[in-house]
Amino acid sequence: MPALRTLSGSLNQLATTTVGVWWRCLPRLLAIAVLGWAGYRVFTYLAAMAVDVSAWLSLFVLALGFVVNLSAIIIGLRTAGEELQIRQTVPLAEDDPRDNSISHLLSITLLPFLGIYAVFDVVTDAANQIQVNYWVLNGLTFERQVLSQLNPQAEGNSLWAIVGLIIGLYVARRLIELWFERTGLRPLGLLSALVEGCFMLIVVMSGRQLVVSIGKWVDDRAFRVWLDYPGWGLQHVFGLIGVDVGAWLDQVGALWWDSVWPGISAMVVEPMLWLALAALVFGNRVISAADLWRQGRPVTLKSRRAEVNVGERQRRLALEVQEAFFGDLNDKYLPTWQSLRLVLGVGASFFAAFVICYGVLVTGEDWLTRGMYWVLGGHPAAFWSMAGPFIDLISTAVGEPLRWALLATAFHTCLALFASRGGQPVPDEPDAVAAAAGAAPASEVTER
Amino acid sequence: MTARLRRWLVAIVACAAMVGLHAYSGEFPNEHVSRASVGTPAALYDATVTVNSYAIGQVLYNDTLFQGRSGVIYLAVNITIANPRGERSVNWQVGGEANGRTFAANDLLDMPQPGFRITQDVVFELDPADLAGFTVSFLHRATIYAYDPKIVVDLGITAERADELLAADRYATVTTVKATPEVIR
Amino acid sequence: MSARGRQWLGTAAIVAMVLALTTAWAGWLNARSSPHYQQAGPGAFADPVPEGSMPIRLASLTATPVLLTDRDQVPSAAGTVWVVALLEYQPPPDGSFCMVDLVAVDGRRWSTVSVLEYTGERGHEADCLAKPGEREPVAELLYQVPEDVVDELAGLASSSTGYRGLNPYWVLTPPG
Repeated sequence: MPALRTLSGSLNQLATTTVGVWWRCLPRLLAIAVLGWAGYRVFTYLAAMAVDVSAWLSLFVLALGFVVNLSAIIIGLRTAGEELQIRQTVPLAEDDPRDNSISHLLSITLLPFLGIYAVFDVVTDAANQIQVNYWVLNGLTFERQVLSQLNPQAEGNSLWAIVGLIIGLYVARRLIELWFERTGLRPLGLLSALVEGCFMLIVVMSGRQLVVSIGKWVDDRAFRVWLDYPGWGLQHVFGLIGVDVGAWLDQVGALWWDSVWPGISAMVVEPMLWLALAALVFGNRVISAADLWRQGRPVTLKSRRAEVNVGERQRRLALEVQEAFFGDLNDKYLPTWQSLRLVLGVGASFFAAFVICYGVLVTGEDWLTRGMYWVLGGHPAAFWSMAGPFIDLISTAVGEPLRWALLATAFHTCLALFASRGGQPVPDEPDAVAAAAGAAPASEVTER
Repeated sequence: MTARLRRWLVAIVACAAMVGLHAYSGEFPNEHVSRASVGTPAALYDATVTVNSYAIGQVLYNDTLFQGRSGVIYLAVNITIANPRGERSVNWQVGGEANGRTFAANDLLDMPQPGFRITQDVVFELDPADLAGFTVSFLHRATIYAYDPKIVVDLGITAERADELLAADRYATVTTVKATPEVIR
Repeated sequence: MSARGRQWLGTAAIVAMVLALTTAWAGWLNARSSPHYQQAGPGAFADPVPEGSMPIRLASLTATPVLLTDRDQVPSAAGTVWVVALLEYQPPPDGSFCMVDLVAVDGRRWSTVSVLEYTGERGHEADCLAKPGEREPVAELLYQVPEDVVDELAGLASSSTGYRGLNPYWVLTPPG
């Protein structure tokens, strides 16, 4: 079947290129992965120690940990991308220097990154881990429940205080970003990323509790029963023909929510989100360029800031205000959406090949961890608090570089496929760099 | 079918295969399971547990008290826990499993001090249909845990054996012994 | 050395540093959570719990095959003996408690016998809950151990393991 042949061809190309990139970048990627792991671990333990001072301080330290984690991912992805020469794949006249600064990248990608982690429960797992680390450090005590201190409904916390804190953090971050854009001081970019991390963590943890309590409030209302009527009606109707629709729906529901949906979200949705994130890391301009390539038009890029300078004072003010509040939209959400469309629009074979490669990689890493646990056998928690970090280090050192190589290769393949459709010649491997440099001189890029 | 549609079909099959792989892997296990059979001692850290025998009945006679409920049979599993040199552990959990469901024992285990062994009966309340394939498990788990050792003992009750047992003892009385510590010599 | 060789050297250095840090951290955690015991002087006052609040002294440790209460003579089970530990303690103003196990030289430990094991009462209280001035701060704890352990007893040690730190757990030694 030609479709299967295409799939196996894509699979083969993706896998071999990934392994090639992985092998060539291995020392650098390994160093980055290990340092990122160590940094994250240090901050999670510091967060556990900070619980005694204040739950909010420990949240801030945890945000620092996530920032370190994300920085490692960004640097790793860019290292793999440099090996594939992704930048050269898109000859750009206007290259935003901010696109190359790590702190700027951090500020763009931190929100979607934490969003992915929030959706896949990594954030709450990290918060639970703080609790466990606290017990490991201080012995088992139920006096200090970390998560409950962040719960807006718990005693001593006011809902409005938390909402105020969230709004305050958001405003603070926009102000810091404005300050950063005016002055260009690097530490400010990092600071805004940190504030954003705290904001996101608080939203995730307190927000989760809020959603749960809203759900409980709804359950307590009388109108909640109205929502059950259709279900009863259906059951009655089906009962007339002797089919127990309730039990059947329960089974289907259980199968869906316990097996199918977690599988889809972990094996299909998550890889695509990570690929979108990788696309963000490699640059907005690169994404828009590829997007425009899809329609076969040459690249036209304008800086939004340039547009603001034109026009009367009131209009400029309005645009500034719009930028202040909806800048997030343009900086983060739109590019994420664009990159998702990019990767989905490449084609079925690439999509399938990428999903298979990512799934096999992630499953292999999981089985490696399980294998190490199985070899060591069952032990009490005190043993695992010492052995656990080593096992985690080994599986991180094995899995993360491979994952970054896969994401970079997949994104490069995306670009290559788009370029070949748009008629632009594209370098496949570093050997073809010379061809690309000659094929797309700057004069071909026009302003429209 | 167009070539494009065929490619997307293959892609969907590939995604389904990955979802299946994920479902097959399942959750991260928190127990290290080792299997034992009736009569062989199995070790959990320093202590060993041996399943000696089992009996079923309609009525449970335990410590001068008769208990019984309709539709439920009692399975009393006689076990010996020997503790030559370890600390007296309070973290043992005993349970049963049959037909994909778990059963809790009626009582906590009596754990022996170092140098002692205790023979006792662990009682489960079952539906007669759950007798075949019943396994007893001993898990050593503290309040905070990561990956604990677990011993699963298959009582070896096949479907035919279950029928025989039910035919013979369905309405019998099960007497449980009081747990007394003995010195290990 | 080639560029790649230099990269591998750098990576090896980083990995070695992280491994060393992780090992040091694991070692420190281990040292804090595993109790290490130290024998107190014979018959001397010591606090079995590190950073606890009540010094306790083991006044006597005797083994007997038959336990005498005011109502009964309770023989010990076959192959075992009763061990009677007489404690003197100095309670803090709010009172405290003693949860101590009988410890053998090789580390085996036995917890106190439940009062359900015998009928009647003995001369002294079986807990250390007296506040200063209430009654005589003397307690008697009972244990039941195999016969062959009697010559290998080290003393009494605390049964709680919640302490996280580097101080030793004192083992109360019988006098003589």
